Amino acid sequence: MTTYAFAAALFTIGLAGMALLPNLLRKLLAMNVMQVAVIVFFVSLAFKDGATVPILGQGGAPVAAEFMNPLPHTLMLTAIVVSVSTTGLALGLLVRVRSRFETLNERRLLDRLR
Amino acid sequence: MRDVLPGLLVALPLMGAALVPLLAALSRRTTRAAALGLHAAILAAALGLFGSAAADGPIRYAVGGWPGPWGIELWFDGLSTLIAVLVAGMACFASFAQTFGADRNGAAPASTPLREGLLRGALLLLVGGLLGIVATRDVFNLFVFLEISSLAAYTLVASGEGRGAVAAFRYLLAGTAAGSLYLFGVGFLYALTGTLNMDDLAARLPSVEADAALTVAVVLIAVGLSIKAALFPLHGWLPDTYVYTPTPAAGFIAAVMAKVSAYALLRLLGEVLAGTTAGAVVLEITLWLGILGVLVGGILAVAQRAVTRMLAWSSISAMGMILIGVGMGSALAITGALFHMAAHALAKGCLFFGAGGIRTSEDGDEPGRWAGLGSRAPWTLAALTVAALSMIGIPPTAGFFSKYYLLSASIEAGGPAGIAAFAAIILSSLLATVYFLRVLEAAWFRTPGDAPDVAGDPASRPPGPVLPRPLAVPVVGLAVLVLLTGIFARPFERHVLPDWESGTARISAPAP
Repeated sequence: MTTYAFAAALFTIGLAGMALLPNLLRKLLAMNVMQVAVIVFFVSLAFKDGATVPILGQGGAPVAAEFMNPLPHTLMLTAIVVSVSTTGLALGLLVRVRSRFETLNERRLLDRLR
Repeated sequence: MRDVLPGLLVALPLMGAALVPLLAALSRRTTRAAALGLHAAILAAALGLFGSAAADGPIRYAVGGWPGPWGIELWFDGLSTLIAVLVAGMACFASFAQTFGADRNGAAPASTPLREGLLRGALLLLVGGLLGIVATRDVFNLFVFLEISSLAAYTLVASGEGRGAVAAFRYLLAGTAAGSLYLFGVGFLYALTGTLNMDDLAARLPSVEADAALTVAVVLIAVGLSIKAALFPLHGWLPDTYVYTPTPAAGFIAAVMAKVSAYALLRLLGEVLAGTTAGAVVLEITLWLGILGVLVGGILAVAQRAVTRMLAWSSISAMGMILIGVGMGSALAITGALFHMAAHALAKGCLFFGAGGIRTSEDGDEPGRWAGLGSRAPWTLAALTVAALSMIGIPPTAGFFSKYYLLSASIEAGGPAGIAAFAAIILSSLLATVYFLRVLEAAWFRTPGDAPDVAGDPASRPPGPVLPRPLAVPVVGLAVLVLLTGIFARPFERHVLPDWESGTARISAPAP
């Protein structure tokens, strides 16, 4: 429960940062915080105390309670790849914005676009 | 056919996206031919699936031979194949338009062969992502395709000059927030039901109906997809994105990008989650926000002074109309929503290709720049007029029939929401008349001299045709399709409706 509340808080912080921070690079960092919050949520979802990876051991019928669900973790591998590519593309965009407008401040940038 | 086409439809554009940029090393001509050929093959696959689903019923395709609910399934019925044909068809026009080199909005987006190859690859990637969203039956897979299509779209938006990069970054922030909200919601659904397959989800949801987490999941998914679908008041990213995108990509993105998200919203909220209490409430809210969006989009479109920005706000109005249909949820309303997706995509694609080209050739974006174009390029302007009439809703264009279905659905629904939707749709048509007539009047009845909002000497305009061939062909082709779609509206209705009704019946029936 605590981890879920933590994930929700992290997500809110990230979202608020994206909306409120004036600098585009800071917005991007806030976006990463938000993405990590979702990853924390999925990873903690599958975590179980005292359980292990789902690989069949030495004989005997497998007991579901002894294993963690591997699926959410696998999904998050994909989500991390998505997050990395989005961040990379965003940084590329910021380099172009900075070299052309010489600022990353959103308000100044919008003034220059008029 | 039914065993091969479903896989090909998604695999072809994704493989093509990797291959086409490499061909740039050979020659421009090879790249162009390969890209156009691939888009034509994708369209052929989509049309084949459309015909097959219409003749022999929906197709369920297990990717890699793993059946659902464990494997990822693709699902092709009347709805998904229709949107797939729309996406693939628009992509053919966009690929043709990508030959258009110089653009006022970007100093020659396709300036070098490598750049052109990469942009063509990005378009194929975008098409692959959108077709994946349309086809998939797995909610996590939908997230992956959503992000694939978004990443490709950011690239295309930024391929213009510097403003494009700013617009793309802001779009990226909104799109990533949308994707993360959606993924968060999917996490809640998975925690509740232990499944990601849409059919399996729908079967298991009644047993967790009482759980408060279900409400959270529904809201997160609805908000996430509504951002992508530009539902008022989450439409903030749309105007700048559409205006600063180079013309060939703008015609495609403005035509189908938001609509595919609206389709995903329809699939998830209207079909999978509709049976839950939270789903029903969120659909009701979507309906009211759609009504507001129709009005706000229309009013702000009238207030714009640049033609492309006016078209962008008119898109927000149109997305509101589609989501009114999704929110009502009756068979008639869904038909209207789907038909409006098709009608609006064809007309708006045509208008964006045209307005983008004219913005470049006439060196400005005000309606006054269109003065005298009617006599200089009568065929192009006739095509753009057909598209504008469809946006207003004049018969026999496609736009008339989508509004007709949605108005009938409003009357059928009744109550305050039905009345409000009816009034909003009528009012939006009047507003569309106002803002489109301003442009058409300038084009047909004014001479360049007496345009009030254009500064400078009209003689100083660059010489050359109003629209170069890479843009003129899509503009005229799409206008013809707008007319044909309007004329053949009835067969369309017969094809799509039964699938929707059997689909919702299948979902609401208890699992075997």
